[in-house]
Amino acid sequence: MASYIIDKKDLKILLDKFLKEFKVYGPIKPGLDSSVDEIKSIDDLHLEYKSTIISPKKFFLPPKDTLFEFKIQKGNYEIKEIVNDEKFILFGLHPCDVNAILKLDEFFSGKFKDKYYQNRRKNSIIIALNCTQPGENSFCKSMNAGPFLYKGYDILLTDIDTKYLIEIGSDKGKKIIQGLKLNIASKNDLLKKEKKCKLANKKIKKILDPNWLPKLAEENLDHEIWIDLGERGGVAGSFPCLSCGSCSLVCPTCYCYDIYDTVDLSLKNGSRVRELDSCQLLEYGQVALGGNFRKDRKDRIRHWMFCKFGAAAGSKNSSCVGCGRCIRVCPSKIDITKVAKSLWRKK
Amino acid sequence: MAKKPKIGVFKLTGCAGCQMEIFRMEDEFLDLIKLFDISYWKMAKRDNDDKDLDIALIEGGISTPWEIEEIKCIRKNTKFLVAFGDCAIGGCIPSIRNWIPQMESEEIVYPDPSKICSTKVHGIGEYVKVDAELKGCPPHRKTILELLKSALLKIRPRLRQHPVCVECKFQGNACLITSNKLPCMGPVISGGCGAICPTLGRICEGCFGPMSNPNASALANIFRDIGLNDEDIKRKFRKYSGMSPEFRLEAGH
Amino acid sequence: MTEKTIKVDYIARVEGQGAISIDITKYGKVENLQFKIFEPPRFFESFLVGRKYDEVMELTSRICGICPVAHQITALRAVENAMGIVISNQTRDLRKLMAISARIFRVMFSACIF
Ligand code: SF4
Ligand code: SF4
Ligand code: SF4
Repeated sequence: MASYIIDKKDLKILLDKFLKEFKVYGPIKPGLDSSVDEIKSIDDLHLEYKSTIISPKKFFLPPKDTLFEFKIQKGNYEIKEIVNDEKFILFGLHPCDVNAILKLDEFFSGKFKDKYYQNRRKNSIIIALNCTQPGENSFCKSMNAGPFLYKGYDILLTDIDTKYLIEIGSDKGKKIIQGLKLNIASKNDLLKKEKKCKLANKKIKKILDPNWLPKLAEENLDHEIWIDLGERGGVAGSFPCLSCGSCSLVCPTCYCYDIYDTVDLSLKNGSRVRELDSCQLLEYGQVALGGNFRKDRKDRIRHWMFCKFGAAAGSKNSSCVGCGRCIRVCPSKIDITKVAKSLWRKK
Repeated sequence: MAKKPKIGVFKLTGCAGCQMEIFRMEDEFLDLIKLFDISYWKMAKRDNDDKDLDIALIEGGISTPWEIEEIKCIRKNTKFLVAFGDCAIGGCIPSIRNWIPQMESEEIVYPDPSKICSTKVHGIGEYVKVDAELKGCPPHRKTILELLKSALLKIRPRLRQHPVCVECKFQGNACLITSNKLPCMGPVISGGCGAICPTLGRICEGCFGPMSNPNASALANIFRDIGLNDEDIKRKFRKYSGMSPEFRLEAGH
Repeated sequence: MTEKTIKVDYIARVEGQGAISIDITKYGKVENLQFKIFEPPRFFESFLVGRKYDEVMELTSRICGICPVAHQITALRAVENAMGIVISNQTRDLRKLMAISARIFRVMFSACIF
């Protein structure tokens, strides 16, 4: 599909058009501690952000989500589903986060279709922004998830100095810019993008080989590194894990959740709620009669890393996109790439 | 409807803040008192009967000989006994003095200590079997409601003891430890509060007590790394739940 | 001669841990007044020794769950006096507002519940 360009100062025109028709969410602060939140005008938008604390998975899998409400009346019950029909644009998502959404898509449209997820996904339009300033914790390049994006977007923006290059990735994307007078991109503009891509790639300092990750996991179930991480002194300059759950809650590809019912004081009306969960928490592995599959901290951190390495549930692909959030958020300074490398070395 | 369950609210060594939390449920209070037969609650009514209770909410720890008698008596008369708040669970803030010789404490406060009768303060679990705990100083009203509703429905309440960090991430906050190098207790403290303090930019002080399976020694090391000395660390762990087995070492037992 | 005795076994406003007994004569004169507090001591004055200045407000607010704000503000003033800190007018006004709100809450609460 065709590519266009827009002057940076004209971005307002683009955004204003979107704002007329959709709710728009985008990065609202510069730097590392940004978040994707509602944008009401161009002034709210900070495209020069590095990463967000919470990943955009919150738009498809909110931390707390009411699935349906129920009422019990004279032995019968009534169920009212909560459907979220809001159409929205996610503006300025980085490639790692878009790739993470593609991984979530796989999970939520497998054998069991998750209609709450799919509904939100259907109503979303993704306007991605290639990442020209990857952070120090990013290793997206190794995970084939960045810093530039090649799939999964409706529209893709690239910062080429005074302009943005606009690439269309889907019919949805094509439709929403219809009616705008945009200049076609020149060869030179496309060349500029390539140059930017090379530059961004060079800025990434964390490198891993993703191909041996799942294997690494499979072969090291009883490695003492897990005891170090769980109870002893940590690994590669880290402290031991706290089981705080932060890493998996901020991870754009961690999808585990808990489901429970709540009732009001009539004890007859209530709702079913889905809440984000984390395998790092003791409660996650709890079953009836006090059993727990992962009572020890070392088992929990091992499980989480294996899942990210790609060995959980018989999978062969890493579910990590290398966004670096878990590294930044960990109070114990645990770095998944350093753990992987230590395992590799100690083999 | 079946007979309403009889409930009792008791106060031992505490500040009444936990009981206040029931009163503060402005939206639910009237519905709540319709569902229960409030049999015993000195702070709220004149005539009190502590016989044959279905549920007893105990606020406060044990610090006098007659409180030991009282809690044993309540236990005998109650089907389901709840340690209501941190004082009842482990003595809470008043337990800081357990590290000071009793006589010294008494002489600092009373010109004539022979007039008072007091011991070190403990949670009620030290003396009687406890059926459920409501953590917090005070517990969040949501958790109180959850417990009471579950009791009516005869199901297990959903009272997760995941760390404050979980709720902090639900709120979308940057982490005060990693971003600001502040000594937040969140990673070892049970949630339930909705991470109100970190959300307002204040570190978690620990008022909900230890989470499930906390790694207190790791957090102590992190605190050392960001510049706290051993005394600071001891103070932080010896505050709301210094008596808990989970924080014993860090609180300096 | 005592004509009337007012006896309250549990004063709810001190959390049920106090009692009062008043003997009044025919002429309305108080003959005997007994005020008993049987709340167990918690020794705040003792365990505050050795704590850090910035914790005092947090700890003393647990003196009373009904009126924590009064204890917080008093503790703040004590620490400020000790350290020679002068607060701004704005801070003082905000504290006043807070103290007054807390008092309104307390009075409303007593009026409604007890
Ligand atoms: S494991 Fe860490 S780096 Fe990988 S996607 Fe999750 S948060 Fe990002
Ligand atoms: S963020 Fe760090 S300390 Fe917390 S659960 Fe994850 S690895 Fe453990
Ligand atoms: S600020 Fe405190 S509660 Fe929040 S994530 Fe960091 S350590 Fe946990």
